[in-house]
Amino acid sequence: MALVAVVYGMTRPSPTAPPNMTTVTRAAFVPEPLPADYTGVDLEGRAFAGSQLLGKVVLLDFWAVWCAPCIDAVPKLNRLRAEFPDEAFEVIGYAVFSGPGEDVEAFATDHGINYRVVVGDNDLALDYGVIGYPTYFLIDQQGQRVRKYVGALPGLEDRVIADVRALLGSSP
Amino acid sequence: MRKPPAFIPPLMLAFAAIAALAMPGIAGAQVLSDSAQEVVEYLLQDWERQFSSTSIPHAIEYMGLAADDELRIEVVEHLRANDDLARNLQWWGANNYLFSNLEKRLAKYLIYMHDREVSTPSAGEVATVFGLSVDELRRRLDFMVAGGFLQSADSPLGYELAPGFRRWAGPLQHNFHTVRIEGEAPLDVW
Repeated sequence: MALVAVVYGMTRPSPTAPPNMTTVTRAAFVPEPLPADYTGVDLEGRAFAGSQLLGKVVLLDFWAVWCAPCIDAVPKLNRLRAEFPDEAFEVIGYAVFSGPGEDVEAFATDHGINYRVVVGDNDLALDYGVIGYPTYFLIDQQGQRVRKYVGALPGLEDRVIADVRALLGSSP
Repeated sequence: MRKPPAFIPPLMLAFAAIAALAMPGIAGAQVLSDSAQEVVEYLLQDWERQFSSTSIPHAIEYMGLAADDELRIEVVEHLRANDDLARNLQWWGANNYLFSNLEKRLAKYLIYMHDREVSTPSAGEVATVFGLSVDELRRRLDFMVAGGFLQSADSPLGYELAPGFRRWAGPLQHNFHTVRIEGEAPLDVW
């Protein structure tokens, strides 16, 4: 009975949440260390390290310029980026297997990306167990992975919002 | 000791560049055979088409040439050394274009067995799974050694995955999609 109550508590719709959005509690997460820091170069040519973002919740998006579902996801990621305060949440578009940085930059401009894009390390995708694109990792304020979302999942935006709210301890 | 004038190194570089053009074999530049040049041109034209990503063995087949493992190696080495020829190469790497669909299936099978720590099958067992003679299987596996994906080993099969095998095929791994549009040559798509 207790287990049923916990599961119900994790998934029941919040009275004030938008349709299809569930409420998640922080207890639902099982944090795991990342295999390695996600490092790269940002579009201004500066060295980037994910460890610089400790204290924030991060949605790390492994994507590529040739990946159609990744391109479809850009407007959703733009909305997610705007959903939470900058000091609490970031979306990192971690581009891999996408050719030179200029190509990634041109892509980001053409598609109106409003979140930080990093030209990443191709080998890191394998280290993170990425076998398809896009693959997203939700990383908590301690720099630990708490969720992995693979592909163009239906309702992904709502799921991420619910999960980020749980990590931030904010109500819908 | 007096330092040489600053203009000498650029001059030396210029001479080296001219020498490289004049003596490609010596300078490390690659001279392609006529067949390899034709295959490369076919591929570059093919890859200009949206979603088209035809492999080297299929290009050879669609051009009406006989299957030729040495030609495939020659082409892939050229593509590895010149990944600025096409965006496909920068995205997915030249190795992605080397194997036939059969060899990709073999690669997937060997990775599957490796990951599940299943005891290495013998050449006869693998040949049976793939409907090949043992001789033909060995030719395919030897080719995969030449491509850098496998290496010889003291095992029932006689081969094992080479170090770095997971990264060898790039992000598309060993997946393949071959399509046929009515009235057109077949093509591989990504």
